[in-house]
Amino acid sequence: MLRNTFLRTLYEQWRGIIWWSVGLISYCLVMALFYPSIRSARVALEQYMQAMPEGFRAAFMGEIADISSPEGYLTAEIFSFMMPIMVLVYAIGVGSNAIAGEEERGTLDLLLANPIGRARIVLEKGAALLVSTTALMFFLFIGLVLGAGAGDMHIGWWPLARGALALGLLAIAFGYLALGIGAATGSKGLARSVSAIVATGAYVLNAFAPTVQQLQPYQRLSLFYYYIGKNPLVQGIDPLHAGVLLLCAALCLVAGLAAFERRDLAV
Amino acid sequence: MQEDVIVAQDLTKYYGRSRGVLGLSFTVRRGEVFGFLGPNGAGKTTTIRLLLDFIRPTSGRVFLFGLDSRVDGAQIKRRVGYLPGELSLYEGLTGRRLLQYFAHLRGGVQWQKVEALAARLDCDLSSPIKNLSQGNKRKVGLLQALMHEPELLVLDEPTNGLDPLVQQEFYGLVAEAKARGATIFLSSHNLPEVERICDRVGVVREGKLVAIEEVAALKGRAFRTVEVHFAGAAPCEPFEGLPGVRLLSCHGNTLRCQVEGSMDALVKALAQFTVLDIRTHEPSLEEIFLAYYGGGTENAA
Repeated sequence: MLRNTFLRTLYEQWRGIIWWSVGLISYCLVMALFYPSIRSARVALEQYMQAMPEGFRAAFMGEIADISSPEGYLTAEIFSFMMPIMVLVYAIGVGSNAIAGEEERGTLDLLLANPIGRARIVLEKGAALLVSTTALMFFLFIGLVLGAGAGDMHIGWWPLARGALALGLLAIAFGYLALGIGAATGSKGLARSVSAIVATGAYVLNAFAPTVQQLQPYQRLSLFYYYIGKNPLVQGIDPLHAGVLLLCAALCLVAGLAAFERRDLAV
Repeated sequence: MQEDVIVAQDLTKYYGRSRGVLGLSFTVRRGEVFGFLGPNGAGKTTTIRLLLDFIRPTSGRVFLFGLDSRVDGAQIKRRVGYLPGELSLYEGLTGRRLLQYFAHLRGGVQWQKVEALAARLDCDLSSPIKNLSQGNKRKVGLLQALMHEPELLVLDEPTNGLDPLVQQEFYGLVAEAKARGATIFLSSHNLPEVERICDRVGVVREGKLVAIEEVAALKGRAFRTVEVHFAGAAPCEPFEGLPGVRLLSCHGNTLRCQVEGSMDALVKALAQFTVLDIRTHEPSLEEIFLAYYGGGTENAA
């Protein structure tokens, strides 16, 4: 039963969540199957890594000591580049669609003709995004565990869970940024593009700051820093960093909500 | 009980620099059917969106049931049913799921009544809305507006896209809602419709309210058009300058004129000729408005 906007939103998304999960799990499995050959080519690979320009290595593989260790391999192939892109595409897509999508399709009128406030709708949409992202991260975790088995990695489930959790926090922050911009402006395109630009900028800033001296003082302005500045697979999750991501998410949601309360709805 | 269900006080809305509505003031009394009439772009939808607090006035205020629409939104909407002019529904849901969702948001909806009403409108509730015809979608829209038996119905161009049979059924529903004491505010650009179901009508043009009239009074004030067929050539002079009679045309054996008030003078003047046929017709509201407000409804933006 669709008792409220939270459940209705999830009901509309469940097929999407399943397909995204299939994609994430497949990606994890494929990458994991390459792992044994990487491990056996350890020496050659290390030389190859050393030969790479430092900036390139930092940008696309993260700062990792040893790419042939399971943690190093997963960080390089999954957590530093591809998986954040995929998960942020999901979160920004869903976030920008939450309010602005309904407004552009014209369904928001009818929804707001019901006796519920605008703030309530934003909060329920936010809760739905939180739950669907959590579900997605749970399936990512399942994919990682299956992959670790298939690729014969010696890694416990706990570091994998920490990685998925840290990525989930990053996704929520950008998802709520998109949701907030959409709620404040009513434009899905604007919400999507601004969030994507901010995410790209944050990624680049965090990736190049260690090697580009001029960027170094600003690394802490990047949300990616709070996601992977301390490697969640190796060092665990820093409560302070997690707190920064959550705080940013909450601020985006509240700011979007406040603007949404004040403005005119588009026809 | 509050007597005035809608009170609009000097409502003005600008979109940036372009005009929405200008200085609208009107009241809708409990239990009446109020028609808001005007050409497309005159500001009807803007007014409705102001009433429901979807947009905020540049100046002026709106009270529904005596409550400020800016402050008591949820409390007001509990008592209002709304049908938008451009209806957009959740395309992926079935009609039944959509209505059940809205019923939950509202609370206190008697579901058997909704099913009964759907059956009466012959509305398909089991297919996904994206597969429904335009007419069926409008029916789902009507159902969600009516299902909680609201005190006030706000309907934006309600019969747009309904086929004539469903239109009749809709007029019946409006009459029933009125009979149980509901107030109805509807916008329309269709005069015969307003004439048929409304008690009072406000005419809006280019964002301004140009007139508010009782439909009955308007029609009482009305003139008739009379067409007389004579056995021979139509005589013209005897009818020029008759009190209350305005000659429209006079050629061949036919004379056409407009009569305001009593027919007596015309009938007496006709008596001396051989008359084959007299046809009169009651004017539509459209003709009345054109006569009183000088036409030009189509030059509004």
